[in-house]
Amino acid sequence: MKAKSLLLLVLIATPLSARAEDLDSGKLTAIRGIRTAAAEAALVANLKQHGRVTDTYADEMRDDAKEELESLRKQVQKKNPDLLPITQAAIDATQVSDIGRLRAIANQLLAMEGPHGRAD
Amino acid sequence: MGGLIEITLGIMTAVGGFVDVSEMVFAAQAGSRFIFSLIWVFAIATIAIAVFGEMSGRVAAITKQPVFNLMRQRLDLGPGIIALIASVVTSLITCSAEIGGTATVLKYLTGWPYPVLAALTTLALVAIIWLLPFKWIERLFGLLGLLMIIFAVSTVKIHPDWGGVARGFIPQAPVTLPLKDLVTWGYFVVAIISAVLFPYETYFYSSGGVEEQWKPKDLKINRIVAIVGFALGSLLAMSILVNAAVLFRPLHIDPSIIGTSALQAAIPFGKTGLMMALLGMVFAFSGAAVETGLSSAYSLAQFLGWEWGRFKKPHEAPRFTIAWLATFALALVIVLTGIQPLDLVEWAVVLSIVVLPASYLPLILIANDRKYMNQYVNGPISNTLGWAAYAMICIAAVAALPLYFITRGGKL
Repeated sequence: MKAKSLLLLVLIATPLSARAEDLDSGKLTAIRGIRTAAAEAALVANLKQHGRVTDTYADEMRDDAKEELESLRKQVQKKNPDLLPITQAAIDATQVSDIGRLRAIANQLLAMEGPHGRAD
Repeated sequence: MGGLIEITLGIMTAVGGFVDVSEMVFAAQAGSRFIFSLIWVFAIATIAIAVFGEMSGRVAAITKQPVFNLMRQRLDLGPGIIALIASVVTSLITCSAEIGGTATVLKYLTGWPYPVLAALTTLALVAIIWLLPFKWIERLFGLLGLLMIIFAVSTVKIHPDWGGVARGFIPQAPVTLPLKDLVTWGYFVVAIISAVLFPYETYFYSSGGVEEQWKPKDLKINRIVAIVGFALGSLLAMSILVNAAVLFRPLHIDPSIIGTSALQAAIPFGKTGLMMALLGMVFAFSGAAVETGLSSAYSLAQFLGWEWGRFKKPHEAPRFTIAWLATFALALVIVLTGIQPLDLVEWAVVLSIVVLPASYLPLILIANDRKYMNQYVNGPISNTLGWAAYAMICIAAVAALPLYFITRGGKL
């Protein structure tokens, strides 16, 4: 019974996996990672500007977002070099807490993702 | 009056201890990516953990034996050892994730270096376990974890679409999503089931029943605490999901940093909300670290027939004491290697779901066995819910690994 269930799952999962690869999963994952890190950095910077978060929290969150983006830069450098400029732009904007630029980058990346991943 | 206080404290402890780093991460990402369409998964998984929690407490009160003792009696040696190894490894990884999560949140509060905070956290937890009696270890973290209620208060304050939230309780799948995202949604279903039903929770709960020497007269308190405490705790997790859908999704945030969730309280309540959320997270995560660290030692000691329990002095149960000390030391080493807590959370969730069927089968079998339980065997409701939950766990266990690899741990 268990073996049958497993076989059924493999049969279902294999074509799903193949179709997922068709849509260049690696690139999509990278775009999402950069987009959310940029958006998180923008939100924290905005809340700091309005005095709604502590300086320590805001600074640590900015550093974490930057670290996340630098890790993503290493990934895209190897596999998706076309994403390198926007990743670097996100890192630079995070460093100086440029809220407008970070939001623009997040929007641009969301548009690049297309209709994937966000239920309506 | 004493009973009422006991019930209230028990419920508060269960609520404060319900949300850990994995539930926090998956609830926030689930809300941001899939709006309210995963609320029902939290609801069903909570019914399952309440059923199994009540069952394990009842079995502990009647047989005076915790889950892992029963597992050794009911499973053959081979499957028993596999379940033991899987459970110890899962508890260790989860303990590392919780210590890493605690240190990360402390970093947001103090600005101190992460490795220093991880080491201090581990030392503090070891000292607390060494010095406090079991009941007070449980209550300390559970009660201070109640600061997490700020997330539920935020939900009320931000006025979500309550109709949409209510509809989220109806089992559903967002079938309009592209196939790839539907698969990711499936991964989140499995991950939430796993995060809510982590096996350490029943190991800890039933071992606690033995530690506190529950008797048949405690069964009523056990039932109320398991049902009400877990249900209210789950509402906290759901509020994190709802807040993420309302506050993060429009800003294109799928939280990738542990500290982002605290913004759910900072947006409506400013710095006060932020501090409450961060402190609540510290106590909730460190409480889970204590539970997982002790669970690992409970599993080993109970399976191998060692003396065990915090009701004994450390020198009266030396191998048990060494086991939990070693778990914390290894967890700290894992954290200090630099592996991100979020990566540890993903591994823990996937490993846990694979262990779950082996953890819960002996429990249901014993709870149904009159030789052990006499008149306290499962009633029809416990049985029906227990077997239904068990079927759900088995399906999730089979699906977990393929979904993890296909969706790259939900990042697809």
